[in-house]
Amino acid sequence: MVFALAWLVIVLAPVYVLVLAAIQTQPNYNSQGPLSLPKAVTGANFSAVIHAGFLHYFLNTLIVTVAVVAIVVLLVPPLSYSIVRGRSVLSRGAFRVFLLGLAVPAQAVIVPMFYLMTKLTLYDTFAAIILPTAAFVFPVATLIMSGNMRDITTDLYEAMALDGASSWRTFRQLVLPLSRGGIATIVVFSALTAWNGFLFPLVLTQSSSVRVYTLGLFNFETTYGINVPEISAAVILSIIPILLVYLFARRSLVQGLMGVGGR
Amino acid sequence: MLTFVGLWQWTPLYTLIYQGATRAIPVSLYEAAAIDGAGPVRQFFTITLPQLRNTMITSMILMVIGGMTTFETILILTQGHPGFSTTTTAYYMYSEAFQSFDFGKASAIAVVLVVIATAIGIAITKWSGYDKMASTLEGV
Repeated sequence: MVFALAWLVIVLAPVYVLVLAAIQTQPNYNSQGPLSLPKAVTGANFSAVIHAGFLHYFLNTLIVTVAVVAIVVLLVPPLSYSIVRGRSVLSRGAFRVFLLGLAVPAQAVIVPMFYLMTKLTLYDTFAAIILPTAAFVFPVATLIMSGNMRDITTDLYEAMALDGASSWRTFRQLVLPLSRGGIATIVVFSALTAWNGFLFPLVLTQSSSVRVYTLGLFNFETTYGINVPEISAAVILSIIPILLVYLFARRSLVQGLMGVGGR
Repeated sequence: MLTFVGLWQWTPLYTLIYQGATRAIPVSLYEAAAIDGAGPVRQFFTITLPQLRNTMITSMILMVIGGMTTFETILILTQGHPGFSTTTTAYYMYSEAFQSFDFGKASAIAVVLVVIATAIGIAITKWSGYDKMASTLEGV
């Protein structure tokens, strides 16, 4: 318990610095060290951030995140189901292919990706961010999901087979409800990756109509340098939706494998 | 220092995965152990850890391969200095490509990185039996 509290303090220290920076004005912030309590508290940074057009970037990031999560949730559970239960060589080989995908760092393929997007005339669109981000989330999501799906015992599958259920029906009625915890985990993970994605939007988009939040932060500086309190306010605004996603997903995570086989 | 930053960054995700997996362990196992007279410590080592075996392998693969491909943390914090002591393969690839402008060499480094990381991943799954898609719950 003591260890958990100590870890909490260590983890919260940067958050504390961030919040402290966001509620002061810049002259006040520059006159003290980052850990000291503020002299005066102000909300001006938050309003400045909203006036600078960050709500539009917020919306763009939301679109990207929802699309990425949708793609991952639609495609990864069936994939994991066939990896865990499939008997053909293709199914077993698929797991290794995804291990290969895990090993490729996104930075290594950034130049070919740029060429690909340009040739597909998808440069500077939402698809240019959504597709690569979803693709790079796939290996991790498959790993988590297939680890989660193994725990569904064969008795349950046999029961479904006795009822004469097709493979698709087994998937829908048996596997999906029992893997709710795993699905919640990959939802949170892919939402987080999409929300914080920076490399792909940086390289594959340009115009401000598709600019995402992270790029907005990147461009957010005046001619005199970086306005730390305002950037901190923008960062705090960006944390809120992901926190909400986690809180919603937590309910599914907490339930786990309920009533397995009625034992 | 890089270790600490990486730890700080990735612990929440792994906590999430482990927590989800731990909640999936049936309570009946613990009750049976309590009837047999096992204290909390013994229960942890004989029930929790074996049930978490699959999760531990998943997170081990993710951490090992993720560690081999980290790049931006090194770029921001140390740039591979002092000397070459914090230059990993991924950062070496970046420095060859974008600082020395030797794209051929950088591509070769990238291929080697992918092959080694995949080999390690496959080795971990084969050696631990993760490949057989067995469940730790068999026989519950």
